[in-house]
Amino acid sequence: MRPLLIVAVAAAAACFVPVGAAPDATDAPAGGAAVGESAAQKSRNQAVMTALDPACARCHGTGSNKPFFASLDAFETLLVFNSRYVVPGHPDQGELMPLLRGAGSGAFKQMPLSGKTFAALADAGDTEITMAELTDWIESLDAAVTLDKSGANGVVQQRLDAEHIQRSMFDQLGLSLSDFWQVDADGTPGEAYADAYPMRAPDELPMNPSPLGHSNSPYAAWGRYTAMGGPNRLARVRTRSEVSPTFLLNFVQTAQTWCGIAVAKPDNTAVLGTLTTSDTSTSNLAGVRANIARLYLRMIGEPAGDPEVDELFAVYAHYEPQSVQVAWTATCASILRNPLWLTY
Amino acid sequence: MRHVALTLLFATGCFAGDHESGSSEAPAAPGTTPAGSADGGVTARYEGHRLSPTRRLRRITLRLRGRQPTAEEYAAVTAAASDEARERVLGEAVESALASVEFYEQMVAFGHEYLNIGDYASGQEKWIADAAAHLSRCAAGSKHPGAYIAIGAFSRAGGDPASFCDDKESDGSDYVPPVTAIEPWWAPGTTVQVLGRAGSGVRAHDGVDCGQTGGGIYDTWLGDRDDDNALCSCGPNLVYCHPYDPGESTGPGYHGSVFTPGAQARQLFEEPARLFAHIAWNDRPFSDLVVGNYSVMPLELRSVYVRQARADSTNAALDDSSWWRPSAWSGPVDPQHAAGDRLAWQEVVLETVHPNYLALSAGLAPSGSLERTYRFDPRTETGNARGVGAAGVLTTFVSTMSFARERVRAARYLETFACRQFLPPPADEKFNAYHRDPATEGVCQHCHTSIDPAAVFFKRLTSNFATPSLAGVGSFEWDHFPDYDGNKKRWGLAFVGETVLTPATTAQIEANAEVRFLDGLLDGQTLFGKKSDGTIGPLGFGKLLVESGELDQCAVQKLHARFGGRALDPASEQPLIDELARQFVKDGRTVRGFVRALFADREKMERGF
Repeated sequence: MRPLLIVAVAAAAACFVPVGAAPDATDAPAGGAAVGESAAQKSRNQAVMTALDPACARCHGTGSNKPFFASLDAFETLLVFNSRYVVPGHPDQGELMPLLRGAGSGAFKQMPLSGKTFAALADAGDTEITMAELTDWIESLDAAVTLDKSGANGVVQQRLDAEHIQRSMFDQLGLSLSDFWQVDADGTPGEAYADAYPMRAPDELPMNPSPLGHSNSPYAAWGRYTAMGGPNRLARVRTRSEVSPTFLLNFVQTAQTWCGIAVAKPDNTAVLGTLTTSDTSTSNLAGVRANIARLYLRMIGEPAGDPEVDELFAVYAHYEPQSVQVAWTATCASILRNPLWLTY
Repeated sequence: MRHVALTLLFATGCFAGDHESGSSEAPAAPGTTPAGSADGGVTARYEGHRLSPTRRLRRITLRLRGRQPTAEEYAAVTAAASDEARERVLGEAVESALASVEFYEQMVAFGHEYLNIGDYASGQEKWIADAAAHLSRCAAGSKHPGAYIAIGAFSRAGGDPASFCDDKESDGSDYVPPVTAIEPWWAPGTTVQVLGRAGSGVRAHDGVDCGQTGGGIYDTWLGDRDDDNALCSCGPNLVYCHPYDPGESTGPGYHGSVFTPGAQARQLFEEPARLFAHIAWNDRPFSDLVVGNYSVMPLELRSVYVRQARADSTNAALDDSSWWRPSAWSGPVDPQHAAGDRLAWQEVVLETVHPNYLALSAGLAPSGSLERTYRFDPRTETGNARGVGAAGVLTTFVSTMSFARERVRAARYLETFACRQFLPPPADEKFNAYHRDPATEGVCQHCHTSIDPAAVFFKRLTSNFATPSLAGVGSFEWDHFPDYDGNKKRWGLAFVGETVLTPATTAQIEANAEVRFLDGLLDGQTLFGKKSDGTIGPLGFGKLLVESGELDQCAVQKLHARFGGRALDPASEQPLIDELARQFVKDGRTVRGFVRALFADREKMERGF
């Protein structure tokens, strides 16, 4: 699964009742994932959760298969209002109490997993809540409570993965395999042009059937691909999408190099469009700005307004004294490094 | 939270200002942070942002086609005159993407990610995956140019058949070999010339089954290689043999490299992901992935299964079956090939190429029905199991070989299909002493309480000289294996009685060694809180995955991460996961159905910038 650039608001965060706080005795709705639950009930659930924590949370905390104790919301949605474990009003139903007594019906016969059952520990005074108190608690639960199914709110943004990056740059910059490799008649890449910063998935076809036969050609390309989070499926290495320093280092270098190749490539209109290297900000200002706007829409997916064009034109103009090619290379690379290009 | 990532991007100085459209609130300038916010104020700054229509198109195209929109595709959105018109264009973009070959390709890639089954046939195993004797070709300048000769598999008085190409014996004496014209399995509708006994059609003699191979990694041979009176041939339509030429890089002659398009090794690696894509593409229930009786195979891959099945003489009827004739193929193929193409990923009911992976359906029809069952309890039944029910990716060769043993296999499948994680227990947790059963004793039970009831179903799947086989099925019973065999030694240590993995008594095992291979959940054992109906083998596991709801719960989380842009958090969003799973089942468990529902939620699809 891809790690994500997720910025989510935990909807229940505002409803958390701190341990030790005086419970709200009113029947006012408490908010959070449990809908229609009174503040008093939520407070009691928090107290039970806190009392069970020493015996249970080390195995059932955040990241575990059953993270009942990751938060109060988790405790309520995964355990309290999950009829597999707890049936409000009916302590004799659900799996929780039998498990605590050592009479579980599934693969797990008791909790804790080994040694004395929770019930035995409670009898010995080694727990912070007794079985009788747990029974009372279940009997007091409101069966009318439902659970909020809406999920977290917030901005969702993903980073382009390595395959997206490679394909997007090929498409948008007018590049192909032969710009980076000597390609056989049947399309199989052979020797790589190392200075072109080639990038290729380790399992992508066609591939020379004996990579070792082509000196080190594929290895730098494979390494660049996996450094940008690309998978190596042959070796069961999955895609990674974090924005790591390794990713940024490789991406910035690759983007700049590929832009340069695209700009220099004969008859390639992907970056310059209808312009030539004779069109400068002096001789064809409108054309240069229009091309910037075209690139912006093509690559960012957003019609460019004057502020966007101005910002990129400043980059272009800064480098134009060196050469028009360098200026468009810098402009192209600047767009690729924009977070809006890298994310979607 | 990954707010750090956005902060990093801002630090590159490339952020070009506000691009949000439709929001009533202008975001704060980069670098300003609302005081006291836990995430650096990113949430507060960007909540409320909505994607513009063109950025939405970009998101749709990236998520479904794996690429960014073309200039023409953007133009269609910007040209729309109203919000309704734009929504129609975006809706059409979703539908056309779902119908595109690019979507199929994305599903192959997603299948690799989802299943995480790697390559097993890129090492020495590639040479014996085909379990076939090898045929080479006479050189262009020889007396029989292009004719096939068997190399390493046959000897006539110890000679080298390569000399047959020039009508010679290996000692140089004159010999005109018999020449036979045969339609080969690898090229239906054509005819090849075969020199010598390879083309004689002899299938068996003197107790030798010519259809079985033996030998080493490089020189697979047929059963009677060292016999001076050897008579074996390559069988009808040369099905015991495979063309081999190390000089070729493509086509049927080079079947070993995972880097060669069309090579058997490559097809073995791709099969699980291709089945995944096939299910998504053809709107099959997602559950077919673990309970379906079919897979998808090009011709070369079918040959692998047939050869493995032929390792057991009881499957000799395969010699005359039509597994290699395109006219016998039916069912959908992948959108990149035409029906009948030898490279097409054609749907194939597994039993038709390996009789011990049972179809359990009327007329060997493709099926993912939960009614399919095969039960066999060696504690009470004599003889051997007929096989195990075919079960989607669970019974593909590469998955069996990628995960070495039943417990490893079970753990990986629990991770893949039930979203389980296996983490060590707290360091100071106390456990009872370990004696014989890791599922109930010692620190191992922390994980093996879950793993072993799943592992039970995979006990028969084993490897026999780096190729898969089914223990206790057909000829592969306990006594078939010599005492020095690595499998037998391991089974003796791992399949001990009075354990969760082998719930039989020591006395029962001593009375019938096959009891060790008991591979169903019986006697009230449960998995995912459910009792099994007694179905043995991987199909039993697959059925419990589906019937318990675990497959759906895990699938919607992974599908949401892939198509919805973020992973769901079971600790805080279980009700949403439950609802998505309920709807997923109601809609027939189709991937396209899930995607359509997700993309139809405009509010969620617009979140972002």
